[in-house]
This record gives sequence, C-alpha cells and structure tokens, in this order.
Amino acid sequence: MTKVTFHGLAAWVGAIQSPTICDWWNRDPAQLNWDRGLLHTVDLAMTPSAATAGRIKATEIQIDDHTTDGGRTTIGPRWPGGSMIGAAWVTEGYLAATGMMCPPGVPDGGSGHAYEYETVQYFDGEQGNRRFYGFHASVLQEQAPLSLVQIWNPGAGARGAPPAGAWWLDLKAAADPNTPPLVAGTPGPLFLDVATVKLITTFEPKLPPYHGAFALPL
Amino acid sequence: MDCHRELLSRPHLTVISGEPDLELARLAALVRPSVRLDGRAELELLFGRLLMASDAGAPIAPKTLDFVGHATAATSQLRLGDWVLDAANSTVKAFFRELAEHDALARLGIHAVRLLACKTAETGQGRSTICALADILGVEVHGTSHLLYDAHYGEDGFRDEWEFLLVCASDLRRTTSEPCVVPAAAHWPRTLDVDALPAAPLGPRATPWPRRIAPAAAARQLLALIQRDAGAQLPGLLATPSCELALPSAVPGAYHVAQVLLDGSFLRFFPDGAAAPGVLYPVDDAHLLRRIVDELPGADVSR
Repeated sequence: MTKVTFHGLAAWVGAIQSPTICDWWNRDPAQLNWDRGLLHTVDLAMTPSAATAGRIKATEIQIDDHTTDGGRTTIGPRWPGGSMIGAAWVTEGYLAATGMMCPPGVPDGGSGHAYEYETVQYFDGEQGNRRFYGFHASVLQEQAPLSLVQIWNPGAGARGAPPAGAWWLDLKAAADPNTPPLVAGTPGPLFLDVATVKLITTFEPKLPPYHGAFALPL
Repeated sequence: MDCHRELLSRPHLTVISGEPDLELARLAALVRPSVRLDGRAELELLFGRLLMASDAGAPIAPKTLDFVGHATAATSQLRLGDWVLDAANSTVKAFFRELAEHDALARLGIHAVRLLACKTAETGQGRSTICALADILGVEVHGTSHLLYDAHYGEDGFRDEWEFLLVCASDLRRTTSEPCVVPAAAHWPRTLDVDALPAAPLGPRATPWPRRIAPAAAARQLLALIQRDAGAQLPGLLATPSCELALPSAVPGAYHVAQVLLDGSFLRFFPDGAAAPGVLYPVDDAHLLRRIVDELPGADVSR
C-alpha cells in the first residue's frame, strides 16, 4: 500500500526558477529579514497527479496538486501568472529532506492540531487513489450504521471555537480505515474522504493564517 | 446552421461581448469559432438556434459555456454588450431560470459556465452572482480574481493551462463567509418542531418509493419514537428512502413530508423546504416504526 501524507504550510514564493520550480519561505519573509538562506526549492510539477499519470514515482512526490487540479496547494501552479502567497501542502519526505519541520506540527502562526493540516493520499491497495482530509471531530451519538459527528473547521479545533456543524456520517465508508476510529464522547482526529468533505460545510485551513475573507472565531 | 453545428462540436462555446472594443475584437479573431453578441435578446436567439441544431441531430460535445467580456468598474460583473450579468437583477435570474427549466444546458452538453472577464470573483456582488447562477443552472459556474487578457486564449477559447486562474462556486462556498455565498450552516442540534415544518397538498411525484398517509393518531405514535433533539444532515446520496410519509398538518388538506431511511432507524424531515437537504432524526425503536408504517394506507396520486 503506497500512502503519502501531506502537511499544509503557509508559503511565500521568493524566487522563480522555471514555470513550475520555485523557492519559497514557510514563514513571513518580512519576519525573517528576507533571509534567502531560508528559502526551500520545490517543483510544483512533482505532484500526486504526476505520480498517478506515471510521470514520477509516488516516492518522488514533493507537493500536493494545486486546488484547480484537485489538490490543496494554492501557490503557483505555474508562472507567470501563478500565486505567490498561499498554501503549500508538502510531503513528509520533502519536509525531512529540507529539514523544515520534524516532526510535522501546526504551521508557524497557525492554530489547532497538527492533524488538521494533514491530507492522506493512497495510490494503490484497497484505498486506491482515495484522499482523506484531517479534522478535529467528536462523535456525539451512534445509531447504526451512522454516527452523529461534530466537526470543527481546520485550525479551529483547539481554541474552544464552536464546531462547523454536526452531520450523520457512515464513518466506515467515509473515514480513513487506517487511522484509529473516534471514540464516542472523546474529541480527536478524524480523516474524512474528499467526497464527504465536499458535501459538508467546512472551510479550508487559513494558510497563511491571515488568508481568507471568512471570519473564523480567531 | 453549419456554424451552430460547429459550435456544438467544440469543447468551449465562447460568447464574446459585442461592444466595440479592440481587445475583445482581438479575442474574437483569435477564438474560432466564437459568437459576438450585444445582450440578452441575442443570447436568447443564440440558444434557440443551438437547440434547433441539437434537435436536428448535430453532434454534441461536452463543453463549457464561456462568456467573455469586460467587467463593470465598481462591482466586477461581466458585461455582454449592455447587459450586466448580475444575479441581483431579477431579469438576469429569470433568463437563466428559463434556461434551466428547459434543460437547455444539458441538451447542449454544457457542464460548466465561465464568466471570463477581469476579476469577476473579486467582489461580493461578483461572488454572489457566480453562486446564484450555479444554484439556478445546476452546473458549476466559474469566475476569476485575476486579470484576463489575450495571452490566456487560443483558437479553442480559454486555454486549459490557465484554468488555475479560475475559481468555481463550490470553492467560493468553502472559502468565504459572505451570507450571499455560503449555504445555510449545518446547525446542530436541529430540534424537530413539527408545527414549523412546511406543509403542502399531496401531488403527483416521480420517486419510486411508496407514499403512505399517517392519520393523526399514527403520526403521534411515530413522532414519539423520534429523538427530536438529535437532528442533523446526512451529506450525499447515501440513503434511499424505503417509504415517504405524509403527516397531517394544521392546514386541512396539507401534509408534512417525512422519509423512512435505513430500515426505519431514521426519519428525514425537510424543515427548510423540499429543495433543501433534509434533516435526519434517529428513531428509538425501528422495529415498532416499521410496524406502524406497514399498517398505514397508501397515498399515491396518479399523474
């Protein structure tokens, strides 16, 4: 089973090398004194869709696809014309290779739990090509086959903010079977498949933290 | 007619504002075939001709309907000639609602509408229009928060490699909290208030599951089995009802509709109207509920 976990980070593009390769900061460069030594290089073409198409191996993936290609990255996806500030959802392998964050956690300036900034993508096996987004959630009640699940907007799960809502969900069908199931009454991580996420009313994580026009209770 | 057949066979149906403008003229020369028009009347005529060509057997390719023009200065809404695509305008809404009622987009193979003018998703009015048109037409509607110009176009229309400049209604709903854009939040708990449920007379319907009328006594029994303060939505099409119930309302001849789901484990009510997602309430005793429902008389109205 090939599985890749992406971690959402804020991204400021500091240099462009080609239509898809750029150097970026994961913190506001104004607070880093524009230190070019802290730039990290990423190729926005090294994505899950490139792996699915057979152009690269899954182990070579650096970053999630752009939102217009079904991913969660919002910088790029190519230049000129691409976005310079946004979210970069990079792999654990990329984080380790660049020494950016180990172990991965809440992005700098962000809030909530680390798993609220994670996406899990499978490439083969029983979960072939399914994607799951991390949320902070709590099971309020169970009535087979559904569970009444309270879900927080990503980044809002640890600050006492009200949940985004509650939904009756079939967690056997909608949740990542390879993560521990939620215990009723105990809030914790829940990885929901993209098809379900698109049907519930939650926001994308605020990356960078000041991104977005919506008013989360910050 | 030949030009309409060709328009239907392409992946993008490009409609360019007909106002005298060098940039738009350059785009019209670049995108072949494309149509230039000056407003709603000409757009209506175009749709009529395309539907005639479709009915005459013209091959239909899946396509986007691309409106290309300039945006208004204050609200960044696309102008087609002198017609501003503003969903706050009832004439605009009525036009697109009529297209939806005639199923025109599906008949022409149109799966998405794109408002291709500069920054059509940059203002609240623009985002509201994008979402309102998506709701009316039942297809994805795209706008952009970027500047668009001729480099983004090729002979087939707006080039696929620049699609990342666009944002769709679904994404807008996930990234803004403007009341005009975001659907009603998934409030919880949705306590069941039977008197506040919409009521309507029974009419013909196309759904395959049976419908039964619950007299007042049976309705009381059914409602007593429900956990009224545990209501929430069930996203998606996971559950097909096994039966629809018509519960009596305070208005003679009008009924509240409920659906029996998951073998009687849940009842779904529609407090926000029949067109909105229903709210599921768990049932304490599914076996008893099924027994009560089985004894109710059928209530199907023939067409």
